[in-house]
Amino acid sequence: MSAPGFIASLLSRTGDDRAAPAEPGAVADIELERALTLALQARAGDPSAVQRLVVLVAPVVLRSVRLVLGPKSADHEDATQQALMAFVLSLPGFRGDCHPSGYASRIAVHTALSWRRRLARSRAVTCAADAIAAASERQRPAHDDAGAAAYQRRCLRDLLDRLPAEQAEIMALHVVLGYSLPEVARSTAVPLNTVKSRLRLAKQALRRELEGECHTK
Amino acid sequence: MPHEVDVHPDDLLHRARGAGALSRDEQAYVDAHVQDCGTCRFVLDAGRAFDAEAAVASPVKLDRLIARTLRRTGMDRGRRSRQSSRRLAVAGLSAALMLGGVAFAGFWGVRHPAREAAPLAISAAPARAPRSTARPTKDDWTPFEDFPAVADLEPAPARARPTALPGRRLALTRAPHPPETAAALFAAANRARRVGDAAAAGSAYDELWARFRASPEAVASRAIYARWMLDRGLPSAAIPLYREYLAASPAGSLTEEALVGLAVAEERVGQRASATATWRRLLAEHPMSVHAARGRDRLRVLDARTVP
Repeated sequence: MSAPGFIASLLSRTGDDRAAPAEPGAVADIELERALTLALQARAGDPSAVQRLVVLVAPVVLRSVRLVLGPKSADHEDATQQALMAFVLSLPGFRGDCHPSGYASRIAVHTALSWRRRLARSRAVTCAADAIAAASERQRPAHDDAGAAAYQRRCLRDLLDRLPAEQAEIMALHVVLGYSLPEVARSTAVPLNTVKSRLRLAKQALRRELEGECHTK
Repeated sequence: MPHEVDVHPDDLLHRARGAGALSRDEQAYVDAHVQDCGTCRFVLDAGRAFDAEAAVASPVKLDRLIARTLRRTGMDRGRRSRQSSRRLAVAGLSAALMLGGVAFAGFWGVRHPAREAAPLAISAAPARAPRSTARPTKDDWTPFEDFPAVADLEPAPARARPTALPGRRLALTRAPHPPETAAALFAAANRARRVGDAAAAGSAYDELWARFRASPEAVASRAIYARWMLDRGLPSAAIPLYREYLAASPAGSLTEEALVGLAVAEERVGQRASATATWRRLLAEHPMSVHAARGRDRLRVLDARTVP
């Protein structure tokens, strides 16, 4: 989309089309407009706008990377930097359909999922012990709330490694990061019904995993 | 496990993650659903578990990370120009000291010829800089799909250039901190890359390119860095690096690999016209290349896609 088209879409967008951030109302609208204007300036190559935009989205990117990689990963910093670089390099492709943080989140999820899969591949080749440990960990029953929560998070993250990329992306954005389905649709530029369909397929895969585990117990 | 249903109230479930976000009827509906649907119950609980994990502060220092990212993407121009001015000032001061030292040595040599003999005997040995240990090897390339690894890098990096003049001038020209050579920077960058330190490797490669652009190490580093970016899933970052390599070394023996990498990267970011041109260039300039068959295959695919 050209810059004038971007501006036009920015100005003509109605409240219903916008990402619905946590804080409703006028404040959120103003914040969204400011962020989009900043993204527009950054997209045009203004270094100071890029700097401010990176400062704006960095916490969201770090949060996304942490949640997808898991708390014990030693790669938060590297993966976050890679995601931020990818975000800066992808700015020309930002169309203003969602809050820049949503766009950054999506890039962070992509980066983190690729990171997980790459690590999983290298582990599969070099260190089967990790896989055995993870498998035995998954079978361990959770006796308390903290254990149950950790178990659920681990199951979900493991599932992300095995799902097709499109479903994993939707699952990560919706379940792991907590974006609503319309927000996911806007940040991924995918129709809402497609998002719902991918989520349904991902949930089917999750159900199969859970049933398989029940059967093995 | 109880009977599962395939119609899930995903919107309500999402809102149910936050306490008190549902009306009484909605809450009753969600409760009834998760009673029957183990998957949704699991997703709801897992979502709350992720929310709890997100509330824990991260030890990562974001300001440092942001500064590094901006430096890597070339978006810290203000700081860079300040650093350049500082470097210029330091270089000027060093040059002045060096000139003063040379003048003083000349004066001292004329006035005291006998005193020179002893130190000269020690320092007259040719001041050979250590040989570069940074000759690129196969390890400098990591496997990437069916894109074969390069046997070796060409041209071989030159030996480290002497950083000081031989003979008695050695002592006079030695700076407090000897300047790094291209070979040393190249080795440092490769070491950092091998251990997966993306930040250190990136800044060393960039510094190598900025300071020793004409050296074979710097030129080869562009192709290595590009390939690494491609391996890390950053084709957009790889493209300019490959182009820099090809511009600096249009007929080097990494050219074939650089062309393949560039074409792959361009395809990945959806630049089909550029990718087509790059594959064509590969076939035109290297018709006997081991990548030629792949190039022809890709061109068939790309041409087929462009036909309406």
